[in-house]
Amino acid sequence: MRANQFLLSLGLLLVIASCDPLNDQSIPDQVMGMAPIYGIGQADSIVMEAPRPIESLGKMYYKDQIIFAAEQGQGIHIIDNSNPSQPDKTAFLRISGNTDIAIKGNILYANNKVDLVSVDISQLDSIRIISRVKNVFPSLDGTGLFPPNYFGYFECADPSKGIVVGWQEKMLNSPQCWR
Amino acid sequence: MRRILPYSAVFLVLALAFSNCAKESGSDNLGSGNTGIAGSLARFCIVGNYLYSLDFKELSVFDISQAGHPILKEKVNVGEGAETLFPLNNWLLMGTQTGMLIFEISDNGVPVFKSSYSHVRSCDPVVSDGQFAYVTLRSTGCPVEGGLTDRLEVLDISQITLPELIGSYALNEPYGLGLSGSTLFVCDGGFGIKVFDVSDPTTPLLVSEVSGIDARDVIPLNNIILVISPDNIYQYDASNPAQLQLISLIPFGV
Repeated sequence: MRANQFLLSLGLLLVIASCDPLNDQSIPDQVMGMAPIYGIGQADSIVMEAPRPIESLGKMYYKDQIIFAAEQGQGIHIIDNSNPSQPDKTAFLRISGNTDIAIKGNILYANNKVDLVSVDISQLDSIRIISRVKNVFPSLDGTGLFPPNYFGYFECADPSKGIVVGWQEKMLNSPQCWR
Repeated sequence: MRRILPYSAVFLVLALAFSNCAKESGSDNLGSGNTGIAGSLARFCIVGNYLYSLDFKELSVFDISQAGHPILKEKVNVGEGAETLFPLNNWLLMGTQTGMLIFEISDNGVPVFKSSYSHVRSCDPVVSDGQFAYVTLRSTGCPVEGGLTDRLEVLDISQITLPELIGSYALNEPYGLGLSGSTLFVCDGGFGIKVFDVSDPTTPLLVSEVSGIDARDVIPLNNIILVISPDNIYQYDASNPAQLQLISLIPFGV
């Protein structure tokens, strides 16, 4: 029975992760696919940090002469666009596992992985977390072993590198995982 | 071996709905109104006092009448593969892997399924002025099999549950698009940006092109357009649609 349960678990794991190594001949040397983004620090901390380079642009949002440019799974670049000929990255709002935002008034609504958080951004240098609704987006949980709702090659997650907070598109060399 | 998609899920859906969430009544489409303007890929959308969010198979409705304190009001099952949300007046157009679903937002904010339009798929971006909808269809990198050609289609959606094809234009590798008045900006992937005069929606008129950039997504602001490529965010002065002027770019990686 125990062995059966083990096999069942194993089977489920394979079905879920589908990390089947293909036979070597069919794995391309280079292919576009998804790679894990590893988080640093507390998964639920939302903090304003110094500006940083855009690496993997996600969604964009524009309001009141500010470009909110998502860094996939990591947070949001705050870009002052009051002078469009000289856009200025002023800060980075770290929101782990973020994929989507919307703003109404002074409130930014964002997913922090599976939670919905409301952030008062009336003062960008002193943001305030107003509320958190927990676990409302279970499917946006990119913390698993494979990229959610994606079929294709991906870089196998390596737990020793940290928690997976999201996935990004990347050129992969001989990827060992796919689904 | 099964067909492996050339682009990630991100680019599969890098597509729907430009200025998605700018349709709040009274919004001036400049993001200076109460809500901002979303780029493509949007799964969050604010209409009035409601925040709509897609979780691939569920559409969550949050009451945000008390700012900063969303209350989950309803979860609507929308089937697998729902990826993008495009608000249009009192409707929500949803891009799924099987087609476009059309919901009507009822008085209490809860969307009610009305109809579907199977021709338009999740990776086909849609913009609309309310009467006409502009859709780009891309033959590659889309999770749905099919022999579609790459093109722009214009639909008359004055009867929203009965969209009618009234015009089209052949393209190379179309991704996102954005509408500003009678000017339509179309990202044609590695073939750059194409600018159309759509005063006569049945016959989109190509007025200018920008080549040399891999254009994926565009957000029209006032006289400026924001264009996303895999390497840069570009801004162009579009006050003269016949000749876009590059104003600035934000390079990635630095």
